[in-house]
Amino acid sequence: MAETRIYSPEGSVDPNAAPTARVAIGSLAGKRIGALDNGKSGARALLRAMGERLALRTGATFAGVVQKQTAATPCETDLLERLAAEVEVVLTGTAD
Amino acid sequence: MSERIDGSPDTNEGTPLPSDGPLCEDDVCALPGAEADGPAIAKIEPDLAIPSDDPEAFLEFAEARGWGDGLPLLPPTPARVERALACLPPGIDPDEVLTALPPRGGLVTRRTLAVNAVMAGCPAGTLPVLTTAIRALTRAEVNLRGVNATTHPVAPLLIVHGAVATEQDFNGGLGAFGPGNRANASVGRALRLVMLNVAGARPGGGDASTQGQPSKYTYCVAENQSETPWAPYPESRGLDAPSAVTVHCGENPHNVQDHEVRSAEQTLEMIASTMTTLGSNNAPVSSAEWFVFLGPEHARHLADAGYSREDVQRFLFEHARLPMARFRRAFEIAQYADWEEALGDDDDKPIARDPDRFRILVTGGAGKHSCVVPSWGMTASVTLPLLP
Repeated sequence: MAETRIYSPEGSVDPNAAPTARVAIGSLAGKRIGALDNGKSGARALLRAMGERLALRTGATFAGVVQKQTAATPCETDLLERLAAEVEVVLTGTAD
Repeated sequence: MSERIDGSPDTNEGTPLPSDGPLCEDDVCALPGAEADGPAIAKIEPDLAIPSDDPEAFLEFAEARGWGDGLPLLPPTPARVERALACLPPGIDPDEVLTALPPRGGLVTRRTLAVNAVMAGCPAGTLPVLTTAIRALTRAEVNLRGVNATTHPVAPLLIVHGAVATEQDFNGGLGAFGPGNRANASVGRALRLVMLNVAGARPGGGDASTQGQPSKYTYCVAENQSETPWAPYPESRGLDAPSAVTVHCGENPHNVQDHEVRSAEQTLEMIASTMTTLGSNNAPVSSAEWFVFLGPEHARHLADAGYSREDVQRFLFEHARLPMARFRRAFEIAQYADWEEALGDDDDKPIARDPDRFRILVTGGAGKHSCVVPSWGMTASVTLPLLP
């Protein structure tokens, strides 16, 4: 039976779309952990509890929670830059 | 005690380590750096082999790779893809990168769109409609990353205007939102396949929609220009083009029936009452748009009573309202204009903050039905002239 050649419908991927800032962080001991509230109900309380618990378990410092402007839009660049400058690890949530 | 980044007091700085293991040693891996500039050309080749052109075999092949929407697909062979591309004018490079689609960052070329159009069963000649819709979806105001990734059931609705709707047999008449017309069904489906395959908006992957909605299979209609008593919709948006495409990211249509049509005001009150629903994501986001698809009989009834499109918009702005107290009870998190926030509990607040958020056009055939399509909230529609 003769085979048929086809295209993939996925195309290729923008190399700039891949995350570039992710690095291996090793142990959390001594690191600063921040949290980014995605704007959904309960996110701040959940992230704060997680961050504080994680810090307790690992010897890290929990640096607090900041919130992006709305749940439906990407996080503001200046807020991301601030997080990048002040903490090594960011907890956040997706969806509801 | 130092202050945290959110201003709260730091209570655990320097805490001893009760279970001092490296939780994240291998959880986050270093990734290779990205190139500084994306390629202007992204040529794809037909480098996959299937045993035959048999549709059933291809469906299994596609399913194994997570392609498609679960319905039968046509194999995108080079010959079929070339036929889809044949409608383009000379000098157009089918491998030119037009844009990238979030969340996956999939690169869009006309050839990639043609591959998906073939799989969806699109008629030859409709590729520019799909291309224009994809260009429109990547405008910043659409917020496509949010549209594709949200838990809301939103789907892009593709609306075809003008000459191309007639030439390519899109349906803006009877049953336009329903089945039975190849152009509507397949071009709407191709748009969804592009979201699934190129943008990566797959349920549980890039698409977190809690329940989904049927219009995530296909969502495409034409404007019924011949039975519109007003100017074509694109003209109302300041666009003078023989053919155009609008994308509006919204819910499924919400029906409005008014069989008695005793007065224009009663018909418009019924439309307004369909909009004043607190369960809509537009209720806590007053910048959101409402598309109102008037059936031709309702539209004629309104026009005969002296209503212009702008009059209809103004009426809906003034009558699609609820007491502010009901909004306040329903939503702790909401995005209203300052003047809306200043309203008293007993004041009526419009469901959208100005008349222009109500978009009016005509679609459908005989009968006393219209429908409204609320948006997802944090998105805005875009209308573009047809582009190759």
